[in-house]
Order: sequence, then structure tokens, then C-alpha cells
Amino acid sequence: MKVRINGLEVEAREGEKILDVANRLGIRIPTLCYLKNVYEGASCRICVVELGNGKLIPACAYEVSDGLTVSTDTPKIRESRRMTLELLLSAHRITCQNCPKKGECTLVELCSEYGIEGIPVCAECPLHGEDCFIARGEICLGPITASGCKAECIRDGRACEGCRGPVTRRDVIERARRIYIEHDISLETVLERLKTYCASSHEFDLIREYLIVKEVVKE
Amino acid sequence: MISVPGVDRIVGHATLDIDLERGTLDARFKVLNDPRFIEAIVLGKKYYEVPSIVSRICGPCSISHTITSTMAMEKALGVSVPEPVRILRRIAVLGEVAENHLLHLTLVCLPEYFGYADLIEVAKYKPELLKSILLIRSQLSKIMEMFSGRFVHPNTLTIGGFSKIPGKTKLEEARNMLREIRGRIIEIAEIFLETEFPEFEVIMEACASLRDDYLYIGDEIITSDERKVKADDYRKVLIEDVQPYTTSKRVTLDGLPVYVGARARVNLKADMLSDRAKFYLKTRRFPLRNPFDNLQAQAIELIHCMDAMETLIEEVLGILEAKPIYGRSGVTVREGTGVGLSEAPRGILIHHYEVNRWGNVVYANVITPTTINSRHVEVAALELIRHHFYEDTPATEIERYLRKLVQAYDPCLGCATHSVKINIRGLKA
Repeated sequence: MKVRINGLEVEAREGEKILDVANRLGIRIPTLCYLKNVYEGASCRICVVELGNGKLIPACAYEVSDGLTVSTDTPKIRESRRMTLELLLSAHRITCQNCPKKGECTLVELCSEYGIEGIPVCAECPLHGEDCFIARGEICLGPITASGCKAECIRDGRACEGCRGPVTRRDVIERARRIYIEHDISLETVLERLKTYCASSHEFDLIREYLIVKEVVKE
Repeated sequence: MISVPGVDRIVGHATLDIDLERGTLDARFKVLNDPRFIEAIVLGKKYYEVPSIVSRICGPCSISHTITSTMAMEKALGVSVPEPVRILRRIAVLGEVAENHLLHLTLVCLPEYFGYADLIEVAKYKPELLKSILLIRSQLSKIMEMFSGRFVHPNTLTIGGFSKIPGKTKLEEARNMLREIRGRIIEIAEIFLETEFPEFEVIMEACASLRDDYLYIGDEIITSDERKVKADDYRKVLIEDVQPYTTSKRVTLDGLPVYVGARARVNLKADMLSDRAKFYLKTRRFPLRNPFDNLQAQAIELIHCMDAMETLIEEVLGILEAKPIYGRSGVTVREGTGVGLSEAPRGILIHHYEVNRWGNVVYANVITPTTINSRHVEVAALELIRHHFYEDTPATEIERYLRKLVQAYDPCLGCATHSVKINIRGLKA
């Protein structure tokens, strides 16, 4: 049978999934929960594609049929994926500092692709445990700075200076606060360094409130 | 009035205006780039932020700016760096000088001097040459990446030393790369060493460079009239003035036009060149008096950089065999003043900072090589017109040579690729 993906006509077998056909063509469809033959539950909804009739369906679960028309990158799809990511993040505990996926996290890559902020540089930083700058007693703004730079300075052996601006998500800042306190780094010095790249005084006040004034929320 | 409207193929945007009317012969080298106020931007900033800010003065010479400001800060804060760090920094500077000279000689000057319109035409008639130029460039950029973290705006050069040091395998890789491209570099340098230019000299001239080391750092400025000036006293001889017609400052040596850069270095410190560079220097008339000879000097330095880099890499490998290198010394904040002096690709670079006891910058002054050269360009342009042109010389011919003259100085007027304009008044078109 013949299937049309992004205008390319391709031969497909009975019972094949859209995702497999697209992969064969070299068309990238992002996935999070999908693991072939292990988990095909279509629960994350990141892999949505648009059918000819405008319907959004998950590419990892939908079987192809003859004459099917699929697009994999339209404004509608991007909007849907953005929404999905935001919903995923709202329930996701951002504990990137201790996460085993550190440095190569698909979720962070997708977030920076779709322009969603709120994840600290620690998610992209390759340093673990005792290698961490903060554990070594240096002031690193990684836990509080927005990701998307692939932690370039840290890979070059320099602590983060926060040039991408701070994250304003409360739970992220409170976690950063806990990390700084744990390693005896004064929060005033951190705030002083943050000043350079804060976009506005409003943002700075907000961070100061979360970082210094407010009590730590119990996990 | 002759105006070279946008001298092309230089880094920046400038006009050369020349007044030929009877009685007055006057040249003005106008820099048209908007002032960028870098010296004002760093005021009040913390000491550790300065190197990465001043690095943005220039893309091609970002390593020089970073290292010079780093050294000035180290002097101000009283930090001494370990010896291997000096060697590694020297390699980074040498790589940058080689890369800059190659860029200027080949991608900028080559088409003009050999009568091609642009690089696309070079690609058409001499594809092998262009391929080898691009290969050298990519190899050099890889080597610079190893020693400074990034090709443009280095990341690993910090106050106190290096945040990350290339390991043994990387150093060996760099050495092998250098050996691979050596033959090609000599080939390109030979092209420029064989070219002839219009003969002329600037009579009243002085050149300046640094004692101690051929490239990289020095504590003393030496000049062709045998003055020796300590780094902290640079303001006694290099006088900065502001002219209404240009957005850049103009620097003179007590009122005397002075040039810096490859030609000055070769003239003052020929004995410090590598053996191979000395051999090629013998094919030219020494000292290099003609401003156009700057290109030959750059070709000679290109060869020198290759040899010096290889020697220094061997030296670092030798140190690494004996003991591991610790690339960073600690920094404590204190009050102080520091002057960093170094040889950038285009000449002497001076960074001067004053830091208060909280580590904030309270005074900053940067003198770049092109501000020093700009007065010399004007004088040289007038000399060229006096020696080589008559009243019936067509304006286009004069313009062509003036354009080449400005390009020979390799002016770097802030980071942009614009062009220079030449205006000549009092001439029939």
C-alpha cells in the first residue's frame, strides 16, 4: 500500500505504524514514552502527527492504511506539542542536579526546541556529584539559570555565570536555594552575581523573594 | 579631493580623504564605525567579567584582547601564573596571529594583488590554491579551539590561568596538524615574498614593539629611535588625542607618526625569528622600509608562527611527561592597577585597568594597534602621492593604490566587514 508523509510517497506494509514508516524515510518524529516492543502505550502524546482531515493522532500507535496522508510538522502540531510539554513539566519534579539522565535529557532538548523555559542549566551539565562546581565550593549559577546553552562554559571548565538569565519557576529556585545552603555558599553573593543578567527589577525581586525571604517548602 | 569611498576588504568602515589643492596636501583617515564605548561599559563591572566583555572588541583578535586584559587584571590583583600557563597562552596567541595573517594575506589581499575580482574568481582559476588556504584555516581554527575553548571569543582563558588544559593526545594531535599544513603555508608565504610593490618610503617614521619575546607578552616597549619605556609609563610616550573627523582615537609617539604590527616586529626583532623565517627574510631587502612590505612581514611571521608553535607544543609535552600541569592559580580581591602589554596580530595592544577593593573596575583604558597606525596611514598616503603620481594621473589609478596602501596596514576598525572610501580633492576626474 502507498502512504504519503510530508508530500513524499512511500511503500508501506500492512500493520506498520506511522512512526516506523517516517523513521525509514529519515523524518524525525520526537518521542518520549515510546520504546519499541517494550512500551507502545502512546501516553506522552509528543509524537502527534496530523492526518489529511486535520485530526491529530499519535504516530507511535496509529497503523497505516492505503492512501493515508500525514504531515509531521505543522503549526497545529507544534502548538499541541508545546501544550503537552508544558503539561508534562508542570507535573515533573525538576531535580536535574541528581538525575541520572544528566547532560543528555530528551525532555530538555525538546523543551529548548519548542521554546519552553523553566529548566535549569544543571539538566544539560555533564558534571556529577563531587565534580560539580558547587560541591567544590565555587559559585556556579547553573541551578538557577535557564538552560539551552548545552552547558558550554561548564564543558570548558568554567562555572556558570548565568548569561541566559534566571529561571523564575518557584520550585526550581527553592531547590537551588537548598543546594547553595547545603554547600555553604552565601545566597547574597549568588544574588549579587544574578544582577548582571536579570531582565528586570521585577524579576530580580521575585527571585530574591523565593531565594531569601520565603521559607523552604517541604518536599 | 580624492576620496577612497569605502576601502573594501578591511575589518571595519573607514574613508581616506586627501586634499590635493595647491599649497595644502592633507590626508585624513576617518574611521566611520560608531563609537562602541567598551572602556565605559566595563566601568563598575566586576574584575572577572572584564575579559569576556573586552573580548568583544574584535572577533578575529579576541584571544589577544582576552589574554591582555587577563594579564592586566592579574597585575592589578597581584596574581602570578605558573610557567606552563604562559607557554600555553603563547601558543594560543601564535595560533591567532597565524590565523589573522593568513586571513589578511589570502582572503583579503590575494584577489586584489593578483588581479582577480574576488575569491570566486580565484576559485575558478586556482582551485587548488583556494582549497589549501581553506584547509589551513580550518586546521588552525581547530588548533585554536584546543587551546582556548572556542575559535572566536575564548572560553577557557581565565584570570589566574586556564580553566581547562589540553591533554597529551590533544597536544600531539595539534603538533601533527601543524606538520601536515607546514608545506602549504610556506607555499602561500612564498607567493607574497615574490611580489613587488611600488617603491617608496616614509622618511619620518618610528616603529614600536615589545622587548623580551617575539610575540605575546612584554614589560617594555622598544622603538626604532631606541627609546625604552616601561609598561606602566606607556602614557608618557604614546600620546592619545581625539580628532573631530574620526570616531577613533589617534595615537602618536610624542607627535611622531608611529607604526606597529608585523613590519615593526620584523624590523626591530629580526634576530628572534625562527631559522626558517630568517632564511626567507634574507630574500628581502632589510629593514623593510616600504609600508607595502607589511605583507611580506606577515608572510614571514606566518612561517615563524608555525615553527614557534611546534617548538612550544614540544616544550609543553616535555613538561607533561615530568609532572601534571596545574593550570590555575587562586585569585584574591584587592585594590590595584595593572597594565597589560602584548603583541596582537596587528601590533601592540595595551589594556590598563584600576580595580577598587571590592573588585570593581574604576578606570579602564584600551589602546589598540589600529589607533596607533592611523596617523601613519595618513602620512604614508601623502608620501605615496608625492613620489608616484603626477597631475595627469587618473583618479582611479591613485585610488587603486591608496586602497592597496590602506589594506596593507591591515586596519581593524571594530568588528564588521565594511569598506573604506577615498576622497581626493583638486583633481580632474
